[in-house]
Amino acid sequence: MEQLAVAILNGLTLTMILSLIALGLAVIFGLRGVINLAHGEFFMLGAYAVVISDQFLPKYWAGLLLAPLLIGAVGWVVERLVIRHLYAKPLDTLLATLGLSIVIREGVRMTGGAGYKYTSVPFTGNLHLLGVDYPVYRLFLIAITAAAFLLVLYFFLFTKYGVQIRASIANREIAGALGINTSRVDQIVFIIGSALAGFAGAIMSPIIPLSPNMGVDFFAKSFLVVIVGGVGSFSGALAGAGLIGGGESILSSVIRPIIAQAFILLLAIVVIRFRPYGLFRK
Amino acid sequence: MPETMLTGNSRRSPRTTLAVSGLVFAALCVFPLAAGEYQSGLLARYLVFGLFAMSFDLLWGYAGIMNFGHAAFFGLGAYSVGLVLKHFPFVGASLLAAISSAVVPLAFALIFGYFLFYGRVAGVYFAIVSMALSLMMQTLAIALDFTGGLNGLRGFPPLTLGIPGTFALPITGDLAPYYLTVVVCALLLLLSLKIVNSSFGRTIEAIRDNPDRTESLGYDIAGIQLTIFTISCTMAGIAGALYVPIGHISPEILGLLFSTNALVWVSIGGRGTLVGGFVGALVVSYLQYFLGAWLQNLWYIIIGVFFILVVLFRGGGIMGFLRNRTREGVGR
Repeated sequence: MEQLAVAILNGLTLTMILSLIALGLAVIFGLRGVINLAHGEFFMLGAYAVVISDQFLPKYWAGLLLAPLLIGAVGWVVERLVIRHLYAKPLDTLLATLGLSIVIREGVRMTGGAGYKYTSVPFTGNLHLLGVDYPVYRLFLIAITAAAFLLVLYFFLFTKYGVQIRASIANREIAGALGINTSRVDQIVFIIGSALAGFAGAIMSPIIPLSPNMGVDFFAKSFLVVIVGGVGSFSGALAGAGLIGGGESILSSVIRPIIAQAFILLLAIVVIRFRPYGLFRK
Repeated sequence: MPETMLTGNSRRSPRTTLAVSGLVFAALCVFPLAAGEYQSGLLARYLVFGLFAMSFDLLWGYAGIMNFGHAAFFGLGAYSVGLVLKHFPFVGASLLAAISSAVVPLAFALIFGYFLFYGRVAGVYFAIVSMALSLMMQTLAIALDFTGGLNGLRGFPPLTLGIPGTFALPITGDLAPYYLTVVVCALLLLLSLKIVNSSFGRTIEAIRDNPDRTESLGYDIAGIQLTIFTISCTMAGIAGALYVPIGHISPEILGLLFSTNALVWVSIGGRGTLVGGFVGALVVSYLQYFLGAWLQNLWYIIIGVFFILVVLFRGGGIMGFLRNRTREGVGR
């Protein structure tokens, strides 16, 4: 019973993180049909941003705030320099961002060293919940990622830019004809997507060891979330993340974690065969 | 269409091509005499990489299918050779190992490809799903006991060619694997050239350039894509088998990074040329061999930047460059 409670809470943690990363991927993919293979590296950069800010600014919170701003800026530069030239050829974007991911990964390895890095944990205590003692920080993580998710949801649904973005996703030509600056929409979406990945990395940084390779695994999983959940839907991203993140955590409590991971990947491939547009799309 | 330009036929006369390839083959045959055993072992390794890259190009350059899980098939070939040799220690097990190195990846490619191609998974989707395949295989190879976990597969007898009882040639050291690799690479390159120049090859390119129109002409698109996918993955598996005597069977050869290498080699050598796979793998690997220790991580950054530039400026790689040069030389 206790084991199950921990598995559920762990699953919730993974679900929230994956949904943030996947949301960034999904809006970019939904808008322009391109996939940023360096998205996982943005996640990694977010975590390293906390490492750097830990050295100069005393509080963890500064890093948590700084990371999305910094990574959003990185995303903007990447969109302007590389991605915008390749919107017409999605497979080429895949290649260019693959090159970019190598550059970022090796750049971090070169400047920051290859070994694992750790950041300070802002609070350490445990809280008694569902019959188990669960780290307070993880509960905080679940809460703040949920808040971030809702904030993005609010932005997309109730602000002027949100409407413009959704209009551009629905029909780019008509949106442009109605006077929406679609090129600016591309930029905004890319900045938000990157910032979300950076934020996810920053919030995860106290509980996982940081290495230049940490993004690869998270990227692959969050892309599966996007496919399983369906492109361009918020509920899909959340449900997909729940299925993959939650499924993995709960399975891991029964069988060996590494077998559970393989099983989830296999499941995703089968789902894609029969529901290529996502489980939840009508 | 830049896509068709990539695979446009060379204007060079067949006689020149024949002479050049004959010279290259002769040079490869006498290479061990001139450069010694160690260098031959190294070249054999890079030729295996080249074969792997060529099989990737057959799929990506001609069929337009980007298979990020290509390394999974290379690894399947290598692991099945290692496992057969380890668990069947009787005479003639090598024959079984050699067959399994082709049959196991073939069967696997058929099943995986059936799910995806008949599920109409294409383009970017295919790339990412195949990425998941690579991750899954690597995860399994690390987790399972019979694959040796993180350390990889060790402690199996060498591959032995020949007729049991009368004549045996163990593929150990540097020279025997080298010559085996040269011969198999040459044969598979010829076979691949034959495939892309056949009417089947033209159909593959037609599907890449316009799947809807090709389907309206009555072609079974999914079936044809599945066929070329299976051929390409089987070749990757054979490359994996060749890797066993000269390399080390470890989970890395199943992983995403190894597939990425094939992509880099083909992009640099020239996509849609087949030979470009070998050229790219040899050039990049030798550069890394000579400069890698000096440049360290900077090496990968240079590769990454170069890769972005090739994509941004639609480069045809080394072979594309050579082709344009010879075309200008002919005079238009």
